[in-house]
Amino acid sequence: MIQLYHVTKRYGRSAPALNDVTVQIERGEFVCVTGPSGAGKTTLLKLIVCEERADQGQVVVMGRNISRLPARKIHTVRRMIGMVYQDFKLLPTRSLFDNILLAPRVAGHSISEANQRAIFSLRMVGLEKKRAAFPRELSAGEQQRACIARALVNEPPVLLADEPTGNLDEELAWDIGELLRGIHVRGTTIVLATHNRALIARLGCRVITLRDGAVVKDEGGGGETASLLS
Amino acid sequence: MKGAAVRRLLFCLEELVRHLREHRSVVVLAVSTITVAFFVLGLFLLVWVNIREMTQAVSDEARVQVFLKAGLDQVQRDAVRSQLEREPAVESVVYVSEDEALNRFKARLKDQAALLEGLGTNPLPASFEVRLRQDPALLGGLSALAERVQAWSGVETVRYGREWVDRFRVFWSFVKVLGVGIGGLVAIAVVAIMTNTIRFMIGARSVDITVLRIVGASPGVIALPYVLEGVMLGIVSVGCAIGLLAAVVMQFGPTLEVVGGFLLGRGGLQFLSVTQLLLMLAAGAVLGVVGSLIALQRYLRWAAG
Repeated sequence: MIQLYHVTKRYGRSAPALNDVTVQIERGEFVCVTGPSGAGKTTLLKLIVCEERADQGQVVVMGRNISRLPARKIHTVRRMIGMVYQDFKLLPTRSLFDNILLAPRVAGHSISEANQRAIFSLRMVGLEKKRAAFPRELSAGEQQRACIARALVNEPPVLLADEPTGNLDEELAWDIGELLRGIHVRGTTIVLATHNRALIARLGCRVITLRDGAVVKDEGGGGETASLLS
Repeated sequence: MKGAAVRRLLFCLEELVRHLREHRSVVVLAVSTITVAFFVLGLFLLVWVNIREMTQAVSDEARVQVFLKAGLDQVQRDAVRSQLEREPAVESVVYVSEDEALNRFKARLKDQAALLEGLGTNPLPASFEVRLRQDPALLGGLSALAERVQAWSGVETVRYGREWVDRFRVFWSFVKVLGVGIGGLVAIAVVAIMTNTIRFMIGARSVDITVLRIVGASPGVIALPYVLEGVMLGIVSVGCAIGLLAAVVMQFGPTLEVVGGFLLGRGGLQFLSVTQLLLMLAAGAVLGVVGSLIALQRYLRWAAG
């Protein structure tokens, strides 16, 4: 599903954010990427979602080598990937419903289909009754749920979540974890970047640990990456 | 596929309306700024058009008098006339016979016309009055034309206001250099103001663009509402600037015509032509597109966050 082959990414002249990283994530996997701040978790996700381009190595998403993708084609990859951010990135001037409606509208769905998708997505995250609310009227947990609803509204095969529980207390963090687990059960491949050890422990999924831009541990998975590394 | 494209276009138009509604104050600020810039450019164009009109009116007064040798017959006169008419700078040629020249002279002397009664024969030669085309640039070749005509058979002498023409040529060159210089600077300033205003406007909505990128909007879907907005902004601002210019001309035109009427062309104070106004509107629209695309460039790059 997602492969990174000997990927290096450097910002300016500083030490590489990712250094010769090779990772393979299979279809339907739930993978937690963890490590201390600056370990390269966010950079890894940014490379997958084409927010950054690798300096060296190849990134392959669903059989497409995105390292060679022209700028005008990036959106085709992004439509296959739902992205959840720590800071939600919801538009403050639009209602929750309109925020979620954006994704199916830009994908070219009809208004009625987009509406249905948005309603379904909001129902899935338990925010159906708050559809008319604006982001500022929601709690942090609700905003994160809305962000997940937006990421899922086009039913992408992959969901990337970058520290989605970073702004939430333990209980709310676990709510989000449960929600992600439910989404995974429905068949979505999930890559969750987090340093929340308690959440990782409760999720009981494959864990890739990064430190100083390198993979230092990969446990709980099928061993694909280990075989690639060896 | 076609249906999806139409739906995306509809989405872009909805986004455009939403931008204009949500960012009303920014839009008003941008329109005001660009209007002022184009107003200054229009004012310059107005001054330029009127100076040009004025110089044309002055150059219209430039005439060459070709005096003919005595005793030319009709055929010889016609030969000189047709030669003159073939000259590119010549607008019209009028024959002034010896008798007509005398009558004009008498009319000019008025009360002193009796002085001429003692003359036995008419001493004045026949001539061609040559009017030049209304183009100040043609005055540059006037000396050469006079010298050429002087050499023709049947021509006695050629007279024109040499000193006046030379001064006028210097003045016209100065006006041209000044016009191109100032006009160029004003145009550059307008381009800079417009592109920066649009950049500021789009910068204020960088979050919207980021979110659109996240949800998989194509570069076209992201850019189109902003490009359309740029076009609208350009056209509306130029329209406002033209309205302001018209108001200024209506308000101060009559006063200017009284104060500087002797300098202005025969038609009084001239406003910009329809072609010039349309060109200004087109420039506004084109600059709107260019400004939007420049501002959007950083958001549409491969690795833009």
